[in-house]
Amino acid sequence: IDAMEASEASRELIMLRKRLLEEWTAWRAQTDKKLEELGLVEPEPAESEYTTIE
Amino acid sequence: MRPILLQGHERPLTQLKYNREGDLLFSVARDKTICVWYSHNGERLGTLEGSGGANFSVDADPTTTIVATGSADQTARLWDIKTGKTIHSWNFKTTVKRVEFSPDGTKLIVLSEKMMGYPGGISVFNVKADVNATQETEPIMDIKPEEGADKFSFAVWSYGGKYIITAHADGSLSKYDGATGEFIASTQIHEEKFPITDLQPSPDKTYVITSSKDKTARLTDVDSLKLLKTYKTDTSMNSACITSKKDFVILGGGQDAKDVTTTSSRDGKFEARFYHKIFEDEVGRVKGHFGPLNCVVAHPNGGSYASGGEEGYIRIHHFDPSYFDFTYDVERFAAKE
Repeated sequence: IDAMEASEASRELIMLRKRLLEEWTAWRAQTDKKLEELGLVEPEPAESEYTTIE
Repeated sequence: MRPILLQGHERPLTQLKYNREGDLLFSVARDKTICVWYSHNGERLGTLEGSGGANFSVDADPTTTIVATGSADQTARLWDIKTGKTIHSWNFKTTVKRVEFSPDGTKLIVLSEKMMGYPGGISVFNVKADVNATQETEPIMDIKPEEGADKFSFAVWSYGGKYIITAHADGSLSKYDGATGEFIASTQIHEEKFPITDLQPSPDKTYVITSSKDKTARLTDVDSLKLLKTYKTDTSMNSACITSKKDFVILGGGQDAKDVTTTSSRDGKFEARFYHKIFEDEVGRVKGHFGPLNCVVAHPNGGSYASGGEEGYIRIHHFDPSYFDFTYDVERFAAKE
């Protein structure tokens, strides 16, 4: 029963995360479109020319 | 993720700021030194000499030609980055707590503190990112808090310089027209009795993150002023930033300096905390400082971050590959779809 409850809880958590991610992605797409219409899209910052210092 | 320790200040850090490209990191503290560092190796490029007091804020214009600072000597100054010399200075009646260039670099926000009968407020100046130019002495607009609103603590520009977003000591945010200074709206974001301790924009300046003594950091959309996310912690927060590339936010804080003598650094909660920006879960912590973290900033390319402590040290952390590999199952599935 514990396992069933745990899997139910984890299923709900996954569904919640899925919904949050979808909402966020949709909102970002909307925002990106607006920035583009305003001519405010900046080029992506250049990839770092240096590597991680170990 | 071995950190680089930068030792250039004798007093608590007040603000860190990367330039647009992120090759330079600027730091100010409650001492007179203003430092400029190479962000990849932590080498000091130089210092800006001549500030008359503790410094609270620093920002470089988008072309990294001039730097603005705000100081307890009641000035906002512009500096030539190459020579380290002051090129212009505006005098105020109180401490200058915040300076920020507009996204196009043509305007500067100067936030002066409310103190001893002086109302303080936000002055916006036209600026020229040219070390030989004559700068305008008078602001193009002055903004005071609305009737009944608490004093301004922080101010940032939104995307395109469209709005000025301000944070208040009572945990609220306000929005002003970036061109006219007109008040647009206000909203209570954090708990009222706890001051907001930091305000930073997202990389595209369409939303902001705030940290508070109410032990949270929160995301707010600048268009709707709607609260988007809340990150809950177990201690008061002094700073928060939004990373690019990964959907994380970084929070820093810890027990207040006045209480630190009662605890060891182990339980002072002096760690940088990473939260998933969308899911609001804590995903990791980075130790190192032995006092509260006063400021955290994310590198513009998302490859590293820097933190500044109450103890006077700055730490730069370059992320390991494992940091970039970390994803939730739902994120992996969504990426495949």
